[in-house]
Amino acid sequence: MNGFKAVTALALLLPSWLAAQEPSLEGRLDPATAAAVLAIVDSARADGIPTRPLLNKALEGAGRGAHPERILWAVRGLAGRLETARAVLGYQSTEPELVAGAGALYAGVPPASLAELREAVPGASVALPLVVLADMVDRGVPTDAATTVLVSLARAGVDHAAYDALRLSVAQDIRAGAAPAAAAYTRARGLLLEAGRVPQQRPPP
Amino acid sequence: MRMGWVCGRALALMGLLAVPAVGHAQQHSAIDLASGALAIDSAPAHALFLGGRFGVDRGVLGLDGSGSLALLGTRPAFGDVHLTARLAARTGKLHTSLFVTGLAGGLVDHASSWGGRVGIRPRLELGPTHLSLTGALGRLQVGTEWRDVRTIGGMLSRHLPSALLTLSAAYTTYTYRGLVTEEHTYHVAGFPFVSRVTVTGDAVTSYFDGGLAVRWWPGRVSLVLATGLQGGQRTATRPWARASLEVPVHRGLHLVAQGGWQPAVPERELPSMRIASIGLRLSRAVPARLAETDETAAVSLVEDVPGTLRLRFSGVRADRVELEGDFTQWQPLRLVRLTGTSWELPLAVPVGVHRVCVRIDAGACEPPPGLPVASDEFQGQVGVLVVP
Repeated sequence: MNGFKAVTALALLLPSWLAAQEPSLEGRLDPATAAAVLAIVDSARADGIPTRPLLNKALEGAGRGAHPERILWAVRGLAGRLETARAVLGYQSTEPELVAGAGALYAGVPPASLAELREAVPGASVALPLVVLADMVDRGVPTDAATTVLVSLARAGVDHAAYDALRLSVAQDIRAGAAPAAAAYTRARGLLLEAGRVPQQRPPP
Repeated sequence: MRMGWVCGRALALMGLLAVPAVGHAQQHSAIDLASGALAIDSAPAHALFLGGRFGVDRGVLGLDGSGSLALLGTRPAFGDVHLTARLAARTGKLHTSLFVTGLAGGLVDHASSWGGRVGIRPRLELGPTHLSLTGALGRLQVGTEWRDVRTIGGMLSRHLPSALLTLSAAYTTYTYRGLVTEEHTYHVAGFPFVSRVTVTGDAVTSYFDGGLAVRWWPGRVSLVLATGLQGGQRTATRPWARASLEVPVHRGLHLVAQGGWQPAVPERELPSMRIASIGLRLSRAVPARLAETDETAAVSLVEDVPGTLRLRFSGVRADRVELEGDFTQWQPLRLVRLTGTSWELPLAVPVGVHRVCVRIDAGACEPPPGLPVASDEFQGQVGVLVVP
């Protein structure tokens, strides 16, 4: 039985390992565009910026049938945002954190919000909070409200399920007609109450 | 003359049905243009085939339409339009639909037909195996005669990772009722009188049709092979077989080759015919958004083998689901069907933040349900999957 599990795990991990290798542009882009993308990638590599997201962005554009100029614009933009995210989140940040940070910046989250989130949990990954932050901003939650909510949750040390619950419930409330900021605050307060991290309100005098 | 009128209407209806469907259908739509040979009663002729189909699902309601037309030169040889409305309900593994179909069309130089039928189709979904029964009643006007048609049938289908096997059987009985007006002229006291008498003739006849079909899609190519046997009181028992191959040429454009022996439709007086054609299919498959395929549509990560996370989709009613994303290098990767609406990616998902989209039945690639959504910077959207 254990042997079966080992073989199954190997069969699953092998393609996963293959998928984790650096993507190849060969045959996916015309030679001129591929060369221009690789020049951006080489420059990013020299600056210590992760290159796989850049290659993936080029492949994503190729898969969508985007114009070569548009692909180069997207790859250049992503390289710039990855650099900004690294500067704000710190040089020790992981690739998932930088990818999530770059996504948040593209969604309109200001760099200061990324820094605030990092400061809230200096030793933990901020990848998921950043993805949720970008999603909430994309749904119309004002940036300052979304940042406040996610910093509060991060400081409270809530688990991944809480972030997912917040995102889904806020999206549901907005669809039902709630004001985005109110939905974010209300749902976050509920989660913090569940976690026992909300200070008791003072009774009125 | 009447047939030309019917075929002309068939073409017009087909245009009305198919063209808007390309723009607005929520499930799938296609327009076919093919050139080939058509042989009826062993008389071959070159034909130009036009066809269109669409399907829309909105909650419990659904609408399907299809039309086809074969032209011999500029003269219509065969035209056909079907329009079906469906009302569906689901109770656990039992999915039941009530349907109403209207049809019109026919064969030039043969009797035209138009009419409709109502029916019920319960389907039991036992994982990848589905068993369905169909019962339908209808009335057809064929030329100046009409028939009451009753059909009962069954279908057993099994989904495999890249194939669908279907075994079907149907038994049809119809009451032929012909109306003939006879005129008699006779004279009384030198004056002519005309007498019209309508004679009604009844006759019950029946036939059966059974078949086996395999739909196989290795890679992006789709191959369908089907064969069966048809026979009855008025038709000799004879085999039929057909095959079709669909190869994508460009986004939304497919090369389609098909051929074979089509079985007859005795109650419509449509004889069996041989068809071989090659053509182009213009399809804009815009499937129902994933979130609308089922209220419970969701993505989950499952760790059934320690250390490996697998992506599972539930509540997705489709024939084919593919995922594209960072960890597939934006190449489509087909999901394996686990049960009727549950699918799994045959690949362990690496740790990280991944941008992904899902393609249902060769439609547009859309963000999976339940995941955060982000712009893809190419005027589309993707889902963001965080694997801790």
